[in-house]
Amino acid sequence: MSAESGGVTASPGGDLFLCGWRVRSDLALPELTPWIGDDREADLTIRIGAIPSRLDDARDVSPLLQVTSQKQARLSIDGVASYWLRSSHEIVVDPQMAADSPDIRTFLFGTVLGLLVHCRGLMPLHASCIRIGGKGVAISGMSGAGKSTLAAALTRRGHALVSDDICVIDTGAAGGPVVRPAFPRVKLWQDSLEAMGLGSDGLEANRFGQRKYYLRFAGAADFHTEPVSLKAVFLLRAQNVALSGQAEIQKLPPMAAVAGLNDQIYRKRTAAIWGREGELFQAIGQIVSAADVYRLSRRTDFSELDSLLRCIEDHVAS
Amino acid sequence: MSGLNLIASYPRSGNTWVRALLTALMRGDGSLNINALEGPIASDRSFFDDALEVETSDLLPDEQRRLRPLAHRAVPPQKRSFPIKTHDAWLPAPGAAEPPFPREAVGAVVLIIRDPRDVAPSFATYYGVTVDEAIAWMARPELSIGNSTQGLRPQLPQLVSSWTAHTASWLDSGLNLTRVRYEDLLAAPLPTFTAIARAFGQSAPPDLLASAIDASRFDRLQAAETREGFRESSPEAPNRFFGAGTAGGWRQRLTAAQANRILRDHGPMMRDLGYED
Repeated sequence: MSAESGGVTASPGGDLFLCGWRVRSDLALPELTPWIGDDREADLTIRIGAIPSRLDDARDVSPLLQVTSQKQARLSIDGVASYWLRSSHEIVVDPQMAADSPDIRTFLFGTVLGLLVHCRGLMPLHASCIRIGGKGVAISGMSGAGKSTLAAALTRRGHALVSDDICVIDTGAAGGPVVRPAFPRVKLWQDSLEAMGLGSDGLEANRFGQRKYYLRFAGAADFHTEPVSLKAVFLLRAQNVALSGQAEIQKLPPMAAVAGLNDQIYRKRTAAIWGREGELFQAIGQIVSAADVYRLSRRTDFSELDSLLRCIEDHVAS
Repeated sequence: MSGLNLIASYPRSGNTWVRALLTALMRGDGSLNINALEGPIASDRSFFDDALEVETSDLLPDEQRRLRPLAHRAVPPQKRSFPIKTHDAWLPAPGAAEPPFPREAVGAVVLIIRDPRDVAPSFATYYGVTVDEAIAWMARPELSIGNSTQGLRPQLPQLVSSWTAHTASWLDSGLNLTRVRYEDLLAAPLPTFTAIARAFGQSAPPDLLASAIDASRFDRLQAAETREGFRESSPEAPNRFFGAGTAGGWRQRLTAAQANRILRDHGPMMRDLGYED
């Protein structure tokens, strides 16, 4: 076989699937499923290599992140790794710990994936996504709102996981917005695992010493690679107490839905620097016209988890 | 001009009450919705996630503490933004090189101070601990809130420190600071609140101040909380956030031994602030 362009060797276990892209990686990525699509060239290569400390003409978006107007980005997490999003087809990773440490993938499948999605003209929503009766259901909200907990609990009720934490939406698909499946893994804190009657034994920690874990769903029934139509978005609001007169689930009128979705665009500041505000606003408009958007207020404890899951299923079915 | 204006206080010392007063002043129509108080909270995780472009839930506690002041440099405060509530001490937290806000970005600080003997019972209710435990916590220089190793909290960890060290850290900070005693705000609301509004450069015609003070009366806040619930109340004391709002309630709520212990822990600072018998 001829050498691949860019000089990247084949992935250790063959090419991988991520959001519809064929991925070739130097770095072991055990949460991704194998590529079983056509025999196209790799859409994305992930190499291990050196990274310049400063990108040309970069500006600092944060103490951790440089970006350039050419849509390159450099993320640096001291003691973990540096990441260089070099183009929409190439990511370079420079590990500062064992290359198979989950810590490295935590940021690769976080900020770096989010920026790649922007780079490729798609929309990353801060949401987990579940396939319920063939419909894509996004569960959105800030960290700690309960996205992953609800997604994992719904998966355990027989629905297939589509993505966790970043929901990659393609609003240009014929037939309306679709969600591109990522990989069958959620990240859960100890308290969420316990609320589902699961332990953390044998699970990889999100960060060394942190009680937040990778929970992978291995079964074939738990994950499909075909995109799914986005039909409902639940914007989570976690609160310590119930407020009187406040419905648990409330369908939002279009203006409130637009504002709520806009709040949950993942890595919004970089997207604005890259001039994406207009297209993202249009994308949100398309989502609002194709999907129902709800505000879901939930208590921060897990006492009402089961009734909440049934409530979500009922709203999606109706 | 620097725009990071702060309402600083030890927990349970009237910070939310001052936010309610300022919210009512801003609205100017005598109405106040306790579940729509203005003002960001300094340790609000979503601010740092947005500012850093990284989920702070993926960062270790030392990393979060180191990055807090840096995040404010990445996202400079907007001009004339509402003051930020903080319970942090003006001290570098473990892992951090400086206090939680960059000194050069801080504009005006209003420090609210309350008699620690009245703080203790309120602190106990809010955090669901005994009064003796609350008193012991308030004497700990390393006291930090917003921590959890088992799950995720909506706030980043905050080094609060002991009541004395917290108070001293702000008083000695050299920042543009206005000191307000909770007790003075109760006893003489109009001049005290006027000083707060002035410190933040907010115009404050006396009739608007008076109507904001009326809208924020403790009996009204308490009644609203009972009626509607209060989203900022703690899971340990749901919808019991607003207390009686009195000064000297400790005489009924503390034993003589508890009051003496607080005096032993914090005597010099209490005397400096006029909290003695």
